[in-house]
Amino acid sequence: MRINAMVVFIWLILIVFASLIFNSLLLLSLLFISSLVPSVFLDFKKYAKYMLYSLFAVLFIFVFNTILMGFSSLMFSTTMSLRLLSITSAFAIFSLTVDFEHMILLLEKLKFPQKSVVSLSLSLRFFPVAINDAERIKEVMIARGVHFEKKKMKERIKSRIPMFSSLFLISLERSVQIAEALELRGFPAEKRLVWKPLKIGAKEKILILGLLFDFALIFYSIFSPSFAELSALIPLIIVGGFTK
Amino acid sequence: MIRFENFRFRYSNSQRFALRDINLKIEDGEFVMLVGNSGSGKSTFLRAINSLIPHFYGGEYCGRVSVYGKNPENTAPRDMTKIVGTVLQDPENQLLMNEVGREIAFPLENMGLSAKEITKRVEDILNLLDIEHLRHRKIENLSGGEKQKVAIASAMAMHPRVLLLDEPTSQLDPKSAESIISLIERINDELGTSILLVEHRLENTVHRADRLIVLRDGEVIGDGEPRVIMEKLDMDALGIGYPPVARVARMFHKDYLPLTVKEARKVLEDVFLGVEIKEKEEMVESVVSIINLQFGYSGKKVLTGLNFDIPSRGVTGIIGRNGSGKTTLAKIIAGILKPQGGKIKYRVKKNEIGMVFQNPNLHVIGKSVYEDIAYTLRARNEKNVEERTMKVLKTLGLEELKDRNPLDLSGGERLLFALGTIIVFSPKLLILDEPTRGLSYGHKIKLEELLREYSKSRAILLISHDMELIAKLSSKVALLSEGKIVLEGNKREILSSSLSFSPQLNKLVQRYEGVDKRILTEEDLK
Repeated sequence: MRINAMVVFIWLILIVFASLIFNSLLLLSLLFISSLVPSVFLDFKKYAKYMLYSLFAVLFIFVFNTILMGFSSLMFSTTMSLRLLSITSAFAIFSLTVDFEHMILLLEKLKFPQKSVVSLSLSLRFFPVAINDAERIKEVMIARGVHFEKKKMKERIKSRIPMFSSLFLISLERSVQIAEALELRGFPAEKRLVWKPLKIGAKEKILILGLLFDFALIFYSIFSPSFAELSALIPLIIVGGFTK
Repeated sequence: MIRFENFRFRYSNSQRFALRDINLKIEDGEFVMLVGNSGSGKSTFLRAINSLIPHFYGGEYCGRVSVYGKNPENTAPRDMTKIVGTVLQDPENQLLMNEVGREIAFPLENMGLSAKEITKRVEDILNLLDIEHLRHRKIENLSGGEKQKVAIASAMAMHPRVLLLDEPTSQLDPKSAESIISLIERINDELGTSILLVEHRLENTVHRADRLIVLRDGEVIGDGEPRVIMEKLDMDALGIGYPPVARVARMFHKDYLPLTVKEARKVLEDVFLGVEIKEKEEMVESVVSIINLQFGYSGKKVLTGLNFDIPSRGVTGIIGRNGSGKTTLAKIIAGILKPQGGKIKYRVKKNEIGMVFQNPNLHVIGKSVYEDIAYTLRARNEKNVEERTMKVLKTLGLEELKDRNPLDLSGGERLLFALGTIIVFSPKLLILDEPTRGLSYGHKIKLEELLREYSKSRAILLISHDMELIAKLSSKVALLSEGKIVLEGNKREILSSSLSFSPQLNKLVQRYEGVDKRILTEEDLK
């Protein structure tokens, strides 16, 4: 299910912002729940894989702090870990919902310079091509009689140097051809218009407004705890973005 | 109209002028074909029109060029795109977006057109070129031919007055190349767009052009109706060549120069009479025997129980449509991929097998032609590196270029260089994957000579769509289809009297009565 990239982007910033502002265990726990719930709409296996990496970091935080400051640091370690888990979870949700193509549309919408956006788009387009080149170059090396597996580690590294040189030169030549093709397609343009920009409909507008309101509420929580719990749960409105 | 007046251009990193004393006019709606050997100035000619010269490639610019009233010297390429569309040689590197629709829309976005107008033009061009089905496809998943069609669509979406095509079919198999050339002809016929086509392959192309311009060392040495120009100039000596039927007509001093098989039917009727093919079949032991070979990529079967023997001497040709598994088979024989089933019996060591890849750039390391060729011997810990490298350079005719960076070589020279990086260790089995793609006639002849000599004492496995080359060099030919060798035998058995695999000359003799139907190339007539 595809959710609007702009909504997820603002939601992501909100989670990061809140996790830096909140200090209490309760608020950070609520925030973690808010950052976790959207995963039910996504590929949970992939999400769990992302989160597994951060569990190692959590373990490190606990062990490191306990060694340095003793058991008195348990509270500190828990809040730090919740912060880290919320942020990691938000990024995992972002990367599982916004593909590169939509990321580019998002950057265009955010008025990033056209050269940066097109460069990013080109990197997406030519990354698999470069990987393919690297594989083919390795095959050519084998065809020339270079056997990578049979050698010792030092020799293996040494025998790969010409491979990198070859890959670099091919990429360099390709980049000139890409530059030529860009010129011939009228780029960079004085006034470039995007054919199918990221559309923000009524539902998205409401969600964005809700999230922006939450920014204010979280900021307010620094001075008064009245609505703090509510502000930690408002990010859950993103669920609305996953439904039709 | 495009007009060149006393035009000269020299690239800033070169001593000699790439184009000299160019004076010509190209009328609106003309289909012009531009031919010449490597380095004759064909690409420079196109760059002078789309204004990449002098804005992208700087240098000494003399004289005047006018393109539909605009002067490229003071018009940036982006402003020229509204008049001139350009399609480059490599289908991979000119497509910049990730999806076909967005690729076609990209130049239109740069023109600042409204979303509505862009949609209209994208739909229009997808429809015109019959590629609606590609609309949402990822560029990386397209075939070479499809990529080139998308590149043409992207250029044509800008509604240019003239379309420049720099060897658009050189990386494609003959079938895809034919569909691209037909498409170009349709654009010229139906839309009246002027066409300037640089092309090496003359058969199936030159007869479609209104005009042929021949360049040599930066000068126009022929300009006019294709048949007239080809009668007047010795195209073989210029390294450009003729379509096979035209070469036979010249061999027999015919008054009329046919450019197609249809035209040749009446003209060449008598030249095949009395020609009889006499060949002795030589029994040669196998260098590699393949039994029930199986292979697949991520669950998709490519080779399904393939059986095949490669003789230890001579050229064995492998033919088959795109995606039939020819390259995979070659990589397995070369020891690059491991078979997933079946058996391969080698009568040589695996490191005595060498393979030249389709893309010669992959053989470049980048120091110099000499160093890159010598690297093969050094990596294999072999002796007499200098002596053997120099010998190969001499054989390939690359001695004078030995200190140059391989990437500075022309396409044909690069192929010879790639061949050098492999034959320097004298493999007992040499595998070549599509070696003639994008090669000029002159370099093709050189390659043929080299392979003929090499195959006298060693085995060559030649994978190619180029039926003329297969017919000239091979003794045995095998047809690969559906992951198996479905036909194999003497080249005349396989290549004669076929509707799709026969070379041009055999297609001609198939219709004649009382003529040896096993004639394949003009060499059979000598």
